[in-house]
Order: sequence, then C-alpha cells, then structure tokens
Amino acid sequence: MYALIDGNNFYVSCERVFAPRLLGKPVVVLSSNDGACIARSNEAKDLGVKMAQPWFQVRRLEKTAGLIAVSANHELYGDMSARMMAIEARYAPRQEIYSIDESFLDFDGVRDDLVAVGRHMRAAILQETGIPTSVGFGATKTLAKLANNIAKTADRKPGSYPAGLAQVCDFGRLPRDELDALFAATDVGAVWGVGRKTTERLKAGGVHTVLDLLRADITTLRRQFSVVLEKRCASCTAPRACRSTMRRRHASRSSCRARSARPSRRSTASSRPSASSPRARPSACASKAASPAPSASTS
Amino acid sequence: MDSPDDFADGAPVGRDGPAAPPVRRTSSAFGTPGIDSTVRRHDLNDVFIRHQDATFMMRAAGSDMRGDGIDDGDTLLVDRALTAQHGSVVIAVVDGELRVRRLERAGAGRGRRAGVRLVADAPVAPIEITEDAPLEVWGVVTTVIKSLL
Repeated sequence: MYALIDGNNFYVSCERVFAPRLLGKPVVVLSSNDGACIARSNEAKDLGVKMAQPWFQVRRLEKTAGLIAVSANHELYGDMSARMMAIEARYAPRQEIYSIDESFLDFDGVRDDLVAVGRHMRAAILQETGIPTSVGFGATKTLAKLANNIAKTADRKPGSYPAGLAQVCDFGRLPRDELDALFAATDVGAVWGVGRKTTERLKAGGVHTVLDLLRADITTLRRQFSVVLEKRCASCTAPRACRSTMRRRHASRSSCRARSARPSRRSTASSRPSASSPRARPSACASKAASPAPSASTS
Repeated sequence: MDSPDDFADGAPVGRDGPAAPPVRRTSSAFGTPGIDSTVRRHDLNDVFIRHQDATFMMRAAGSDMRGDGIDDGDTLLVDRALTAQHGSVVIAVVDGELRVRRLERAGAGRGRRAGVRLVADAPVAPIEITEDAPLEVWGVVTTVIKSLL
C-alpha cells in the first residue's frame, strides 16, 4: 500500500501557524511580486478564487468579502515542509518526497490498521507543526492520490462523500461496491495525470466519472489519448496491470527510432501532471530550529 | 594550510602561526591520546532541543513575563510536541495573537473560581479559560536565551 500525505492549502496553513488571526478567514498567498494567487484557504475557494488567478482580478474581494492576501514567504514554507516530511518519515520504511507538501510513503508489508496509522500521523503533524493534512491510501500511487483527494474533499465539503472518509481515506479497506460508488461520485479530472484538456475530451466521449474511465475500453483509450492515460487507468484497477503496461511502454520506446530521436514530446507527456501549484523542492538550507523567528507578545 | 608541506623552513610556529593540522598524513610520530579520543563538540541544538521537528524560535516582545525570567528581546525555544502542565510557560493563542503566559490550574480559593488561567506578572490581569474562550496552547517554552551583548 502507498500513502499520499499532503498539506491542506499548504502555504496558507503555514502562514496561519504564525498568525492565528488568519484562521477561519478567506486568505490567499500571492506569488512573487504579488502577481497571482498560489494558495487559497477553503474560505477563499468558497469565494470563487481560482488557482493561479491574477491578484488584480480578485482584489475587489478584499473590500467586499474580507479577503486577506499574504505575500509568499518561501523560506518559511521550505522549513515547514522539511519538518512535515521528517515526521511522516517516522511512519513507514520508505518515503518519496514528491513536492513541497506531498510525499508518498510505501507501506508495503506493513500490516497495521492503516487508517489508525494515518490518523496518528495526521495528529502528530498537526500538533508538532500546526499544519492540517490529508492522507490517502491506495494500492498504487495513482490510487493513493485519488484517496487523498477524496479524504480532502470529504473534509472540506461535508456530504460530498461518506463522512468516515474525511481526512484519512483507505481504499484498501473498502469493498468493491463501495469503491465503485466512490469512483462514480468522483469527476474523471480528479485522476492524477488527467488534465483539463483530457478531461474535456473524455467527457465529450461520455467518460464523466472515474468509474466511467475504468469501464472504458482500454485499447480505445490508448488509441485516442495516450499510453499515459492507459497507464493511469490501469493503475486504478490493479497494480500489476500498471507495472506491465509501464514495461511495454519502455520497450516500445527503445525500439522505435523516430521516437527516441525526438524524446521531448513523449517525455513531456509522461512527466508530472500539469503543475498548477508551484513545485518547489523543500530546501535543506534552513536549520530546523532556525526558522524565521516570529515574535510572541508578552504584553 | 592543511598539509605539513605548507610549513616553509623558518616559518613562525606558535600562537600566531598557522595551527598545526590535527591529523598528519604521514605517521612519522607517535599517536596522541588527545587526538585519538576526540569527541564531537557540544551542539546547542542537541543540548537544548528535545524535539527537532517541533521546536521553533521566537523573539519575546514586552516585559510582562519578567517574573519567569523573560525579558524584552529574549529568544525563546518553543516545543510544540510537549503537553503543557500546571506551571508551564506557554505560547498561547489569545484573540488571534501569540502570547507568552504561565499556565496555572488552580482550585477554588478566596474570591476565585476553580479553573485554568494564563497569568503574567502583576498588574497584568490573568486570562481566565472558559468554555466561551477555550485554551489554545501553541507550544511550551523550554528555554530562554538572553544575549548579554
């Protein structure tokens, strides 16, 4: 089993740790030079602020809805990220840090109650760093990402999914029919690697939910879309199928001269999904204790 | 200047001269117990920080906590992994702000209700913890660093 843990609205959560007055208020973090919103609190999302939306477009909400904008403090986020990752690393033998606020943990061979492990880990991160997180467990990384998405959505929008899946969601524990019900309630765009354009095309072809995608003919998917989508789809059903597909893909690549001469197209397609959030690496430069020192008032 | 070859003939060797390298590349001399048994120098992180991932530095502002040894401008080490107890100096969230206070759990006494309060030096009024204003401890202050310069 893989787990994907990520920070909820990570940059906003980092700011809130040191400025509790921001809790419960609509907050956005702005990119360098205050150009665009790169993180939004749930309240800001509810106001309709979109990811990467330019600040000038939402600026009016400052006066009308009490939106608070904060300039990005990347040193702080890097330090908080390093703390979060270190805490997560206590829970599993292997960790892959995927972005500033996401990491995969490999629970292969771990036989504990994973939901309990997930809740414990979440509580430890919240207590020690103040960052709220979501945890998803799945047999593949794609499924872990999807489970994480459901854990987060169930927490943010009560009623969207069963309440028991909020914050920590373990696909491995659910029977097939419940899993299918979840997949039927989840938009196909939520699958890792299925971007905006692919979603549009899939929907035009009648594939609206994750369940539709799983029931679609896999060879048609490959022909009309890409091997990447086929791989994504396969890794939603069975981890073994996913692996064999990957192997085939690599074989065809090395035997096809035209493609290896122009590797850029394929490698772009197979690289990480569209980066709507900045994927800064956690910096190791700041010493653990030497985080930016905010002041605490005694008066 | 890390190899013996760097010492030219007649170069001054002593307090003001270049320090001798701790380990010579050629074993032309006997071993020295002082070199063989070197230990790692104390690292203040190890000495003062119990939970590396949960400890933050903060700068105190104001002098309401002088009685607990915290002056304006002191650096505080704050551990979020510890649970606050009676008598702990804590960073508490009060009205959306971080404040240094001492946590006291007191029984009912003369003109005083039983309960938890956050106190500072008199005449600062203690903050009573009630159901309407629940206690929010951000972290426990473990160490106060004062710079004498």
